[in-house]
This record gives sequence, C-alpha cells and structure tokens, in this order.
Amino acid sequence: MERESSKRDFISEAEEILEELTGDIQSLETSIQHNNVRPDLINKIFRQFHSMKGISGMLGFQKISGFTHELENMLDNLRLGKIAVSQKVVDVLFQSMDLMHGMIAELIDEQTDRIDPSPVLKKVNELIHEDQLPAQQVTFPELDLDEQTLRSLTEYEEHRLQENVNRRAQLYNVRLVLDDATFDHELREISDLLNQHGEVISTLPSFESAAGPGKMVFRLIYGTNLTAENILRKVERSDVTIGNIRKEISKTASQETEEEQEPERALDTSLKSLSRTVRVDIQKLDEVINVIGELVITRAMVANVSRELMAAEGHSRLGVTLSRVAVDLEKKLNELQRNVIETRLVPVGQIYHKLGRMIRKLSRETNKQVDLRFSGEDTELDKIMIEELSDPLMHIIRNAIDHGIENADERRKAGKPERGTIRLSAFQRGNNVVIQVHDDGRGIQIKKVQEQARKRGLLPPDRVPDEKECIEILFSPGFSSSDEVTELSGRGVGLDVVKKNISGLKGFISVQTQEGRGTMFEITLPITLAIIQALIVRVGQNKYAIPMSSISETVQIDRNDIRTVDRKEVYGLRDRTIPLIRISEAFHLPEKVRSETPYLVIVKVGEHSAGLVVDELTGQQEIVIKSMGEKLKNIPGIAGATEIGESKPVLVIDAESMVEEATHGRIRAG
Amino acid sequence: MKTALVVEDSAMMREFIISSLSTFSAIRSVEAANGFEALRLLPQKVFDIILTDINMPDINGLELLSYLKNHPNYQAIPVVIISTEKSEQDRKRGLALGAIDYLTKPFQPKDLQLIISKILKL
Amino acid sequence: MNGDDSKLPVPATSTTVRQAELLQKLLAEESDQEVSLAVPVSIPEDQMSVLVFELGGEHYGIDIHDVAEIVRYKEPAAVPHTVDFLDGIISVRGRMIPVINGRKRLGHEPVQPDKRTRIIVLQDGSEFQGIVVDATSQVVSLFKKDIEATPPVVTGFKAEFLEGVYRHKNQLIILLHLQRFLQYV
Repeated sequence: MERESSKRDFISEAEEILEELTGDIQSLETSIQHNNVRPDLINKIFRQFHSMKGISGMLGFQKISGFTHELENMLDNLRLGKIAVSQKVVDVLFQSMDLMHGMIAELIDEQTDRIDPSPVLKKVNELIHEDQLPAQQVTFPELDLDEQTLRSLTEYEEHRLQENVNRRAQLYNVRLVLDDATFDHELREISDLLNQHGEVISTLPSFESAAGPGKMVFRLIYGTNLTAENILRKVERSDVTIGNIRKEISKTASQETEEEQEPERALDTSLKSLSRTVRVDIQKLDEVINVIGELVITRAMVANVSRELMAAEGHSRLGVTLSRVAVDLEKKLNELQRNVIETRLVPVGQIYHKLGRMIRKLSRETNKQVDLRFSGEDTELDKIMIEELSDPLMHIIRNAIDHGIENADERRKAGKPERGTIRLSAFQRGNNVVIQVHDDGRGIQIKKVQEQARKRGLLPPDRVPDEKECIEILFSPGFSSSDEVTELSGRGVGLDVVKKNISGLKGFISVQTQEGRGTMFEITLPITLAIIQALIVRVGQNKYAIPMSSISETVQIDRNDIRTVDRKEVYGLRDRTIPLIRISEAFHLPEKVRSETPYLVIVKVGEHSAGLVVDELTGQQEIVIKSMGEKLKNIPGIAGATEIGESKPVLVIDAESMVEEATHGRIRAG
Repeated sequence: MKTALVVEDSAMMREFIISSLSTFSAIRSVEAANGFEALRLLPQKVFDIILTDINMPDINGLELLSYLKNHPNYQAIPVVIISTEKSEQDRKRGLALGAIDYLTKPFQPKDLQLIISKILKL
Repeated sequence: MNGDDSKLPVPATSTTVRQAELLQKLLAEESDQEVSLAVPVSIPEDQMSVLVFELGGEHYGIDIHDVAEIVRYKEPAAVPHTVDFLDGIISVRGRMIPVINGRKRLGHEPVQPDKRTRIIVLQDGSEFQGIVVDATSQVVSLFKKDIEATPPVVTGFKAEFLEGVYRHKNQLIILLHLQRFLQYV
C-alpha cells in the first residue's frame, strides 16, 4: 500500500472510529449512572480499540498502536469481568479519546513528540492491575450443553455465560430454522427482540440435514428471566424449539411468574435504547412534506379570506384578527417546513467514503497512482439525491482514472508529480449544492473527440468543433473516447446517462478542461426539491410556476421591441441581447393571440440568460414541486407539477433546460 | 485460479488482507464483512481457503469455524483464523475446532503470504 | 359457458365479499366524495376480481388488484411533449397522477365528460396512472379458466391491448392487458 494514501485512509477510518467511540463512552457513562450497563456496549468499545490497534499496527504507527494496545487490554479485562466498570474507567477513556485525537493530529502534521501519552497510560495500567476480581470458573457442570457448542465459545462468551449462571437467570437453547434467502434479517430481528428481554450469549450456525434444503439452522444460547412459553410467544414463529439448559429444575412456578412480572431488572440488562437517533422511512418523510404542502395552500386560502374580509368590511376587528392569525400561521408553517426538510438532509461526506474505497481499488487495478482529496464533507443534500448521485459520480471518477490520469511515466515526462490527484469538493452556492470532481490528468483531448465523433457520424467531416461543442458531443448517447472496450468503464459510454441522471434530479452538469492540465466536472443540484418560492405566470389559458431561484428579473415590454436575429426572437435588455422563448410555442399551446405588452421572465443559468415570454404575472407563492411519475420524469422544460389551490395542478417550468434550449439552438444554428 | 474468502469486520483490515493476497496472481479474493455475509457467500462459490477474524459481532469466527467443520460441503476447506496475541484461549479453541493455522494481529503481509503459499502450495 | 349462476366462484374470504359489495354500492351512488378502496389480498390463485368499466359503448375489465381508487372526473392540466392520448395530470391528495384518455387510447372519438365519467387510478408499486373512462359499473369475480381468447374479429393495434374476454351474464367483458395499454413514453 502506498504510504501517503494509506496514511490518509487510516486517518479517515481512525476518525470515524473515534467519533463512534466517543458516543459509546458517553453512553457507558450514562448507563453507569443509571446502573444498567450493557455488556455488549463494553464489548463494542473493546472491539473498536482492537480495530484501531490492528490497523495502526499494520501501518507501523507505533505510538498509536502501542497506546491502543494498552487500552485494548484494559477493555478486554473489563469485558471478561476481571475489572469492574466505574466512573474512573470512563474518565480514563475520555482522556484517551483526547490523546488519540492529538496523536492523529500529530500524524497529519508529521510531528512525533507533541503528545505524551505516558500519564494516561499510567492510569490505564493502574486500573488493569487494581481491581482484579477473582478468576472465573470456566466449566459448566450444571449446564446441559453439547460439545459442539461448548467448544465454539470464545473466552468472552464463556464469561457472559458464567455471569448469567451467577445471576441465576434461566438459560435456554433456542433453535431457529430460517430460510436461506432471509436468514440475516430474520436472525437480526429475532436477536434484537430477544436482547430486549435478556441476553443472547452466543449464536451458532449449525448444519442439520434434517432441516431440509433452503434452510439455515441457528442455535442461540439465551439468558433471560422469561419462561419458555413467553419466549415462544414473543418470537411469534413456528419453527422455534426451546430447551432449558439448566439441569436443575428451576424454582417453584409461583416464583417464576413473579420474576416474570417484575421488569427484568434482575438481569442487569437495559431496556433503554442507547441510540439518540431514529430510523425513518423516507416515504414517511415524503408524506409529511405532502401534508405540509397542503397546509401551505390552506394558509394561502386563509390569507385570501382575510384579505377579502378586510376589503369588504374595512378594518373590522374580525378581519384584523384573522389577518394576524394568518401571519402567525405562516411563521409557524415556515418553521415546520424548514425542520422537516432538514430531516431529509444528510452530509455529502457519506458517499465520499464509498467513493474512496472504489478509487483505491481502481488505482490498484489500473496501476495508476492516484491520490484522493476530499473537501466539504459536511455540505448537506437531500438524502435521495445523495443516493442518486453516487452512480454518476462513480462513473465520472472511473473515467477520470481510466482516461484522464496518465500513468507514472507519462506524468513524469510531462513534468507532473508521479501521483495523480483527484479532488472531490462540495459547497453551497445560493439555493444549490455544487459538487466538483477535478483531476490533474491529460484533460479532454479535442482531437480524439473529433476523431471519434467523425467516426460515429456525429460530426460532418469538415467541421472543426470548438471546446463547447466537443463537450456537447461527449454527452451525447453512444459516444466513447476510448479505442478499446476496457473492463473498467465498459465502453466509456454513459456520460449521457450521467447527464440524464443529473437532470432527473433537476440539476445540471458542466465541464471545464485544459489539455495536458486536467478536467473538472461540476454538478449543480438544488439542495432539496421540497418547498420553494415560485412565480406564477399565465400563458394563454394556462398557468405555470417558475422557481424564483432561477429568475434574475422580470420586465414588461412592448411587443414591437422584440427583434429577430437568424429567425430567432431576441430582446435588447440594457447592454445585452437575450434570446427569447415563447412558452406558448415551446409547449405547443393552441393560443394564437399574442399580447401587446407581454412580460419577460429573465432566467439565468451559469453565464447564459434567456427571456421567457408570458402574458401575465399572477403572483408569487410557495410551492412544493411534485414529481409526475416515472413516465413523465424527463419532459424537456418541465420540472414537475404543483398545486396552487386552483382546480387543476400547475406545471413547474425547468428554467435550466429552457435556457439550454435557447442557447443550444444558437450554437447549432451557426 | 484459487478463491479465498476473507471474513473480517474492519474494512481497512479487510483491504490490508486482500492486498496482501493480491501478490498471488493465482488467487482471487472475495470479502465478507461479517458472519452473515460469509454464510451467504459459502454456497455461491467454491472456496479454496477461508481466512476469518475471531472477534466479530453476531456470529464470531469460532462459531463460523464450528459450522464449517460440521458441514459436509465445507469441512475440507482450510481455515486460517486471525486473532489478537492476547486471546490465547480463543486461538487454542480455534485450532482444536480444526483451523489449519492462525495469524495474530498485527501481522506483516509476508507472514500471511507464507501461510497461504504453504497451504495452497503456490 | 358461464350463464349458470350456480357456477359463479365465491370470493374466498368474507373481507373480499364485503369490499366488493361496498364498491358496488359506492359506484351506484352519486356521492360527492372520492371513492377509495383498500383491496384485500387473499383471492385464491385460480380466481380474479375484475373492475368493469365502459368505453365507447363496450365493457372492459381490469384486475382489481391494480386499482388504487376511482375518482370523479376532474380536468387534467395538459402536459406538453407527450403522446396525444395523455390528457394531462391531476392532483389526488397531493400526488400528481398522469391521466390517459381511455377512449383515445382505444381509437374511439373522445367525448365531453359527463356525470358518469370517472378516472380509475391504477397503482404499480409506487407509480400511479389514471385512465379516463365513460363510466365504471361493477366488480365481477371470475375463475381464470373461464377467460376466453380474444376473438379473431378484433385486429389492429387494439388487439395487443387485450388479454382475453369473459362472458358475464350475457355481457362481454374485454379484459385489458394493462401493461401494454399503459405503455408509452
């Protein structure tokens, strides 16, 4: 593994582990205070230190691995019951977190002796040797366990079993027969359920031909105060058998029921959830957003009524009160909207990790040395968009590694550092999130694109495309700038698919490139597709909504000021000439009457502007853009539809594609 | 072409193991992040060797090993267990259950490579 | 032949019967509300429940499982750059649903909607589609084995939308192949 990149990988993974650990240590502290420490939490913390030690050891980061080694020791003693859990332990753990953050910072800055772990290490060692409890018995003569199970218990599991014996919990052998296809979900579900009422000590997959084909058998050792019937009832499955492991007959029936009725305090396991987050189905969030959207309309209606009341009765007390109520309602609704929308936002950093792994894998496979740099991990985007983004991003990066970054030789000859760099950055720009993928490779080679385009008949033989046209060609279906079909990127086809994916998210993608220097893909996406401010316009008999974020200005003009250039209508706005689009034409509306004094809605996308010609501006309002379903997802010029409280829904105009159409048309016409 | 199954819950460790294995051009690696994934993958391919960590959530390495050695289709596959130097008992158990060899973390790529070449005769 | 009442299949569960009855009652009413059905899941393999509706004087049927609800006609908002038989989109409880004109799709002349006109909302997973029909009439339960092949008299593009016919008490119900019927880009 190359030094620099593995160091970076380590740092990123270590930071993830540290973050998780900090949360876990906090949970541990809380559970100590409430006297319900869960053994699996301690085990989890142990395993995290174990991981840290392993990874840092492999890479030769002595300081960190030495330190975590001691901590791992301490945690191992803790989980095996050799030392007791206490606030002292928690304090040492927190101090260790600080130290580790410091050591990682040292690593990043390439220092070696800023941090001195010895004081904390001393405390750790004290703890390890301090409260040693007497050694555990490791045989279980009083239990009816088969050889196979006994032999596959780890030391930790034995300890847990002993604990449960000591606590006089009931011990059962739970045998589950699950389907091949779904065993992991089901087993997790059942374990989670059982863990709420006791402790699943071990899970052993077992080969039993009697179970039949397509089935997996699992044997769980389960400690609990429930009776076997209760367990069966809770699990609600037919293919479960339960056997009591304790050879001695348990106490009288009355004591059993008594123990059962008591909340399971005796077992020292916690029923409290340790997590402070909830998983929410995105569909539920959508439904909530839907309802909010309808509330927005209702609020608009209330505002209308209040206005009419005022107009009819002057400033009557009722009218004034109603109007105040409407304003208050609006404020609260806005806040609600904001909160709900934010629940759907997740940081972009989520896909960075996934991409990072793929890039490392790719650079191994292609023998190209590639460094990855991330920035803006905290920039937030709607969760659905993040998921839809990962494929297009992977594709772009794959292309960059495959075609963009040159191999070490070539780079050296070109005077570039041997290792290529791919930079992924994300940041907010107004109402949008921008994601850039930048590589310092050989850039898009116009000659090659030309060649391929001519070969595929996408370009007439005498035509020399400029950079913009080249890029357009790259995005057209069926194009590939690689001569062979590489296993890596298929046919290099797919930039058109990437573009379509991005448009589907109501975003757009642009490319900048310099031969010999590199390429940058820039994806711009709306932060969320949820509630936005829109201008409602009328064209003939129909109304449309145009998102305010795309509008730079509106102006009413005289029909006669519209000029025609190359058979296209344009208008001179101050010092610029702007191409016009008549919505009635773009949407094939039947109306032939053209207003004497139409309005122009000037929309701007990047550096290009266009004027949309409409008959009237009827107002501004907040809308929720709704998708019109799969089949109508990619209609040029339309972003979706929305309700504005009238009898028919209203289409929302996709300003970006309108602008593209207007300016695009001009390039082709030349 | 030999196929190796690597069962290990730490992503970075997994990568480390797989890149150590990649020096053998005759070995193709398949990865599993936990016991469940391993159980899923087992019927899908014929594995020539399995490397498994012992410390994993849900189904740990010893449990997986026990299952493998009791299953007629898988009992002949050599299994190498990966443990920490401290857990001697677990290591002993693993060998008693039928693991063919063990590795303790931290290890160097060449330690792994040595074991692999012995077992797969590469 | 299936003129014989005693051979009519009985829907498997009482819920199915109740739902079907409820639907028939609601369809017969001129209610102001939009009609919604929750379709029960347990119909035996060899049977099918079919929603019957009228288009251009003929009776058509679709599997009730695909039907999410039936609403009174409301004028859709036109959508540009789509097929001509797509009337537009309507909004049902905040959801935008594309609506195709059943008559146009089958090659009939379109007509002005009247008080019997309905929009049948179909659901396929999370995707919704509406069809404007002249009227909806009833839900019929049938045995799949009694479905006959489309008679050779029906030719042309219409034939590919049809899955077969079923005779119900002297009425011929033409069963639609929904997937092909709804196929468009």
